[in-house]
Amino acid sequence: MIPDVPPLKIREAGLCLTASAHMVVHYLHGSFRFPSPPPSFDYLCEILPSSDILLGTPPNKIRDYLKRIEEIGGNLKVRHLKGQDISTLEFRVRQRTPPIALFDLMYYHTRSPLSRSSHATVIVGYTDEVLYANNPVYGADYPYEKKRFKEAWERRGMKYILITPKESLVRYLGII
Amino acid sequence: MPINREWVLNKTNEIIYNRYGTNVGPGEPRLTSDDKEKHYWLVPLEVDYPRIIEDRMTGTRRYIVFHLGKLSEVKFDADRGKPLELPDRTHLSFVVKRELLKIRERVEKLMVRTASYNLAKLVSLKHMMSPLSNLITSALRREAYVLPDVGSMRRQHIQKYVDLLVDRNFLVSEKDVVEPSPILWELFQARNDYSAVIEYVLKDLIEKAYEILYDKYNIRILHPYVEISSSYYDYALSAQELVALSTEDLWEAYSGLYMAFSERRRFRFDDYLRELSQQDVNILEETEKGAWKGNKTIFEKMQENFPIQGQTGIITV
Repeated sequence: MIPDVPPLKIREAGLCLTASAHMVVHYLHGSFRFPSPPPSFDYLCEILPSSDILLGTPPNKIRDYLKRIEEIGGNLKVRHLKGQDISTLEFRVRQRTPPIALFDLMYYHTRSPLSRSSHATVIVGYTDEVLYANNPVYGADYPYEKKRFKEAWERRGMKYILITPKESLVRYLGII
Repeated sequence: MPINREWVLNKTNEIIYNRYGTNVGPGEPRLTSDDKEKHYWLVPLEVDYPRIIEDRMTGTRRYIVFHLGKLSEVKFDADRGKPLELPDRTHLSFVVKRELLKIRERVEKLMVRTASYNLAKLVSLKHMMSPLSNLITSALRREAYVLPDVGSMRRQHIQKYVDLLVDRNFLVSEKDVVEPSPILWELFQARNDYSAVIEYVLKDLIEKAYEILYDKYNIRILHPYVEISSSYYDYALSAQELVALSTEDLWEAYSGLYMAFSERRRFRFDDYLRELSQQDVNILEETEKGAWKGNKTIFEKMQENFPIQGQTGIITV
């Protein structure tokens, strides 16, 4: 379990990826000493194009958005990865780098094949049966049953995003 | 065919990931060809629009997804896999907005039809429409009412109401004289109550002439009441329940659906809610916790005529 990923519950849907990125950035700020304070969620939303509320955030643009906040973006590395299994996410949790997983939320809950959208959530822990996520809709430590989550995650290509400090910053701060 | 279905699906997913957003997904690809026998893959871009609704009485959160379906498509060269036509993001966003507007308009029309009698009881409406009630009362009392001179300010002020009542068959006009129509007489004789007749006429105008009230007669008083009520019922219909919304949630719903972000509207918002929840009007009801709920009868009637279930998915937590 990564206990210190600050949860964030949003009121407006469509911003789940932005909210997830916000949670991870704040977690990193709590763990590493960045030169500037972390951005507020409102500020992060402000730098997104207004159409994002309608179409959702394009995941590949997260790095660009973070880069717009110069001091923070410059120190962060954003990777877009594909998992093999739930163990990939568990591995990242053990590394204390909370992954942002993209999955079919509607399918997870209702098994409905109608859904086309992806939902972003920050995985913060796991047990043998469940994954715990700071979900932008439901709040902290929401338990996802692993088998069902895997199916819903598979429907979106088992993609996940890692936001980590750049290695140069990590070396500079002497953390590793 | 060198490019297969799996390949175009993956490619479209990649394009969506890079370019559009998390609310967009690919539909079923379709292989097609033109008259020169060149083959193309067409992949629909389907959009789900999510909404979060929190019930302030129970604390329940609902995540609602509107399946808007195919709103655009990507065209690939089926031989080389090159994307030939990609809608730009602004266009797709515009199409989503247009689809949401259609839903909003459907709800609004239904709300106006269903709650017209409740809206007719609004004190502000009666006050603002006093020239209309004056005309009805005078015509009924005197059987024929001589209008003020054509050039006078008074005539200019009441002329649009005369036209409206004639248009809706409540008055008959000949030159400068108006008389109650047979319908208006019948209404009056049934109840022998001027107020009841005026309310009935207002109800009819709201129900059947709401759009022309604004477009043709420039009567705008009803708009905020209809828009605020409609915002509540839009949310309630999508949640499929009479949810309790906080004032702030309702303001956000209203300002989001109607793009009504103005200090002036926000300032008057609490008062609109108060009027909509007055005993006679009863379109909204304030709960003990200061949240707002709708009227069960209005909601159920609207639900009967708004089969939304198939178009949405709901998760309740």
